[in-house]
Amino acid sequence: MHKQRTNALVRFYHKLGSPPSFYRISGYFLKWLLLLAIGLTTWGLYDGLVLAPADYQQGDSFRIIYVHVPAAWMSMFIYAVMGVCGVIALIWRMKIAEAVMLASAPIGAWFTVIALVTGSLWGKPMWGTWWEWDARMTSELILLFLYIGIMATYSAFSEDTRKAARMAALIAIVGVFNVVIIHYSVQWWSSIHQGSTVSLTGKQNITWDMLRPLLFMAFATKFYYGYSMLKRARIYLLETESNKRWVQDIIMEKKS
Amino acid sequence: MKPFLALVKRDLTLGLRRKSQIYQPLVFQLLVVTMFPLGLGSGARTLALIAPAVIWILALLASLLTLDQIFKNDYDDGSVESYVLTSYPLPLSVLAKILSHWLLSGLPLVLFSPIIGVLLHLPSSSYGVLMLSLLIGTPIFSFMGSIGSALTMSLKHGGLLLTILVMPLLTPVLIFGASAVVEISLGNSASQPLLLLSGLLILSITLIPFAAAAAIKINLE
Amino acid sequence: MSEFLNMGGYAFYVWTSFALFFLAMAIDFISLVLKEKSIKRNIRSLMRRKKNRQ
Repeated sequence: MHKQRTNALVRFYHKLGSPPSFYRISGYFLKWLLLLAIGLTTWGLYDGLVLAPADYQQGDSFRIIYVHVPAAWMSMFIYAVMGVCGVIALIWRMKIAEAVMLASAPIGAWFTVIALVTGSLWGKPMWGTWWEWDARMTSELILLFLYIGIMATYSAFSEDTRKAARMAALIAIVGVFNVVIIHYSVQWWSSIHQGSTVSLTGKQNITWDMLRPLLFMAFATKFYYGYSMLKRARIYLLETESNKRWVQDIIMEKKS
Repeated sequence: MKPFLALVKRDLTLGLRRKSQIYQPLVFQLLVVTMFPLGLGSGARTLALIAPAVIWILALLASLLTLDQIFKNDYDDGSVESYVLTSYPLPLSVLAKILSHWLLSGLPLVLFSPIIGVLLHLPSSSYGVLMLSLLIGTPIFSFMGSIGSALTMSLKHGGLLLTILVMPLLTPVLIFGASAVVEISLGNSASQPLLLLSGLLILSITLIPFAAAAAIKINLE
Repeated sequence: MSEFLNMGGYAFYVWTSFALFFLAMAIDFISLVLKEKSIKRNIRSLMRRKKNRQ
């Protein structure tokens, strides 16, 4: 009986690791991911813009957190995912890990840009300046450079996609270490240069009515990430396995 | 031990033959530091205020100029392949390359820094910490640069990519190094940033050679 | 309604933030659709060329 269970697990792992299975299985989820993303975003924004009460200190401008914070969370979450995939891709040479890692980069970079831009738009009415070099914003900006670095590395090795993916994976792993060091060093630096003690989410007690839309948006952005990443991963697999039979069968099926 | 020292000796011999390569970063620093009083006015107090940061930034930029040389020349003439093929551990070969790069480019920066300090009216009490912080920090530049160099050595125009990749790695070094000199020029203790800098150096020595070795192996696949 | 759009005086900041968020997601989505179409087109023409050569 034990043998049966282990075999099923091994089989599942192998299925997930094979490009045609991954392509097929992920195809089932795409529609739902997009629908959930759109639905949760709609409800989350209605909840955040209409239902949630205005902050007594910041007024209605605090509502920017409903895009700023989820975007910032995603920028870090996605980077961590890329780091893990990088490790799997380098050590076990799993093609799916390469695909997921590379597919996550563009949407992760977008979330980082949104976090920076909305942070600036939130900061202007709060601090009076369009930019402030506080610990969080500075780290987020460097995170954007790290994303750009991974994408630039992949595109630099344009002749050999396998090599390009492995180099990008190495940079992603080094980047994870780097992000941790940067986080602590920037925090240390901003703590000795007083003046940057303003934090964007200085709220200690956030009421449920204000927190709830944030959670909706957090989930909404995760589902859109899932959709975008899986779509790009599938495209990557089609591209890099284009000489294989399973790709050609799929191309022949869909004449759209 | 012998292959390590042999590698360093070879690189030093080659490097000392082309002395201009050693002077170029220093000349670069002189050229750029001239821009600061020309742009800001020659007020001693202003210059002294920005001196710690400017010296450190100039050291960083001057290092960037030489980072690609860690592996590029050896890649072009096939030496890198021999590092991989010998039985001598690749990370140790990498360490040797980093050491020789630092001796040829980082150490001159350390020794030249007081001159830049004088030009920027750095307070006299700060020179010791300045040189100490650069002594610890410039090797870290070489370590971080080795990853970028190992990655871009096979690319024709890898210079910009190297800069993009290496800058986030160099940022913490700049933060701690400049802070050390700022603190001592304000009369405070520089021990905290110097200790943090030393921690970074130790971390680099233990981890970076493996990362650079991995990049070399991927490049030679 | 106009009070809602005004967002307590912060209208520009709030609405620009949300607009840029949607713009970024839209650009990502559109680039996905375009990339998929172009890859499938490329592979199809590659296959056709191979078949013609046989």
